[in-house]
Amino acid sequence: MKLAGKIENWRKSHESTFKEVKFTLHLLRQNPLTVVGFIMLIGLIIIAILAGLIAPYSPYEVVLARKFLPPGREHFFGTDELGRDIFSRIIHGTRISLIIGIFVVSVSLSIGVLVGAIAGFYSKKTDELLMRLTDIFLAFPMLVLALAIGTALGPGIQNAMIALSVIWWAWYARLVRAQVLSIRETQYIEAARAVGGRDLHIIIKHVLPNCIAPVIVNASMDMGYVIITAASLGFLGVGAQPPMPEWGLMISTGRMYMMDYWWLPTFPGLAIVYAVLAFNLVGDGLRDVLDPRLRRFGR
Amino acid sequence: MTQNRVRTVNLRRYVLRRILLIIPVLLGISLMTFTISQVIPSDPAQLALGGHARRDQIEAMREKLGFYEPVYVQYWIYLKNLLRGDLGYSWMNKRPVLDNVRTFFPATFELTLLAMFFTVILGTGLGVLSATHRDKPLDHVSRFWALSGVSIPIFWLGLMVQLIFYLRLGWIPYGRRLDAGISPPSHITGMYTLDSLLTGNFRVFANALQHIIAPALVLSYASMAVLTRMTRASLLDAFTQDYMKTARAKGLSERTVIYKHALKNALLPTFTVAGLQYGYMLGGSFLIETVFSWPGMGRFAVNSIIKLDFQGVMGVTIVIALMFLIVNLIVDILYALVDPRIRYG
Repeated sequence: MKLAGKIENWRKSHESTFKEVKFTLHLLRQNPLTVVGFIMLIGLIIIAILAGLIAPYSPYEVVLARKFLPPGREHFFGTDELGRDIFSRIIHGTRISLIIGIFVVSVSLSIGVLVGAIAGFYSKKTDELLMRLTDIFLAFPMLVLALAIGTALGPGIQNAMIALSVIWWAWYARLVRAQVLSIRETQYIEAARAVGGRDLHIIIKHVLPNCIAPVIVNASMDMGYVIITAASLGFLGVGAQPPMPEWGLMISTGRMYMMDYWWLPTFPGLAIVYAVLAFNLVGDGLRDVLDPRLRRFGR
Repeated sequence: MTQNRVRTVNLRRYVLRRILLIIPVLLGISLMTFTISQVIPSDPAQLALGGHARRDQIEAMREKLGFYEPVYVQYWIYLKNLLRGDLGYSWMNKRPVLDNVRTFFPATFELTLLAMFFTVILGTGLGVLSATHRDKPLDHVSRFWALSGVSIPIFWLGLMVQLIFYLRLGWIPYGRRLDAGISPPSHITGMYTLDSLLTGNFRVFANALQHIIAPALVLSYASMAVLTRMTRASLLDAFTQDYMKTARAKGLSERTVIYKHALKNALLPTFTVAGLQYGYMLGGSFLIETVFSWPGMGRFAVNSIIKLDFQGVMGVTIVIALMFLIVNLIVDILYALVDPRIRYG
């Protein structure tokens, strides 16, 4: 009884939030491309979770007797130079790419939000210092710096993930700082200050929730971008190492046999396109829906 | 008259300030590469002396290179070397890194320059078509194309282009800058297409063009897509502005209104994005040069990575960051020339 009452209270106090979420979902459904993106994304997540069940073969098992088999009924995407089933490898690769994406985006997001909030909220000196620091990271083309750091740390998928996170946070710091700067001067922050709210409380309760929308949109798009960049590192030999079924690495080894066996690099590439497209479609849809200027009046 | 002088003075001050602002960024870049070099698990003293050096020789070399100095002294030595143009020594091909950069720079510059040209011309062109044909089939095609541009990894696209256009159709040659039997034009800029034109060697020019078109187009693909999106959005935004109504009310033709009034304003943000995209292309050149066996800095760096030749990698990283910096400086200055608001802002 007591618990039910509590739940009822909680529900009542969050009623406006529910309404907002419902409305957002309604808007999302309006755009067919966004729906397609969401379906593709859900498919991707299911494949990643159930990889072991979906894949008909082991991604690592070497059977030299069946190497370079073309795509067919037995092996949908053919087999590679060691007779491994490419379809199964791609299915297992989904897991790797998603984990890389989630890790890099969440780590860089956490650092970026922290730095951005501090820079935007506190004194000019702190802001200046932190922004010059982000400038250093943004002064390099992303892939080039990732390669340099990845090389320094040594090849391997963990190091590639660290290298990407070390760079990526700077973009979020910039984004969050800009948001915080514009929110800081609003009246409701002034009101929160006037009633004696502490800085930390104001940042967490009032500032950050209001700059979350563009961060979500960016994070969704970045998932795709991280997956492509990680695959690029794998392709250049800095990321994942053999025999890992990472898509970029598969393209890299497939390239050596490409002239005779076209399916080796082709299918892993299509997998990358599928995954990245899913995140981009979702990100695009979220942007249209979460942007307050586009939200109420449609486009 | 006076108005004009004020403008020139303001512009000069802006450009000067913008150039001075480069110094802290340069320091930042050197600090970053220095930090990375500190992490790298290699011993420059060992590298400099070769595999057969005795222990005491290596110790002496380390001493000489400042290994036992405090970190800030080491950074100072590093900075001084950089300022003298000393980017280290590449033991992969037994030459100073700077010499390697000199050899490979023109190929990369030529490739990225042409890719940039494609990006700007085709990207804005498609963006304009997309905006003027809003919600018509052409718009859908170009929007889908823009989306695919940010979803397709360019190294894979390059491979697919080779599979189809080299292997199946035989339309393009396989990699490199020239056919095997053709000798490069006499060295003026190091860019084969330009040098062959300057020396009037049209046979070499045609061959060089055949070789560069595919990698340049693939390299520009993603940036083109970004620019198409940008141009479309900012042009659609410009269409809603009041000056468009004014222009139409004056009775100007639709063509003039779109190309003279809207496009001029809409292209400004596109311009800045193009500068940022050049950085993306410099990164992409690592991939494209590897795929198309293009003998540029990116391929040199990737080979250095494979051979664990760290000084080569770091040297190219610095040079690429410098190129990125300079291009953005040029874009900013051009922007100020075109848009008076910047200078007074």
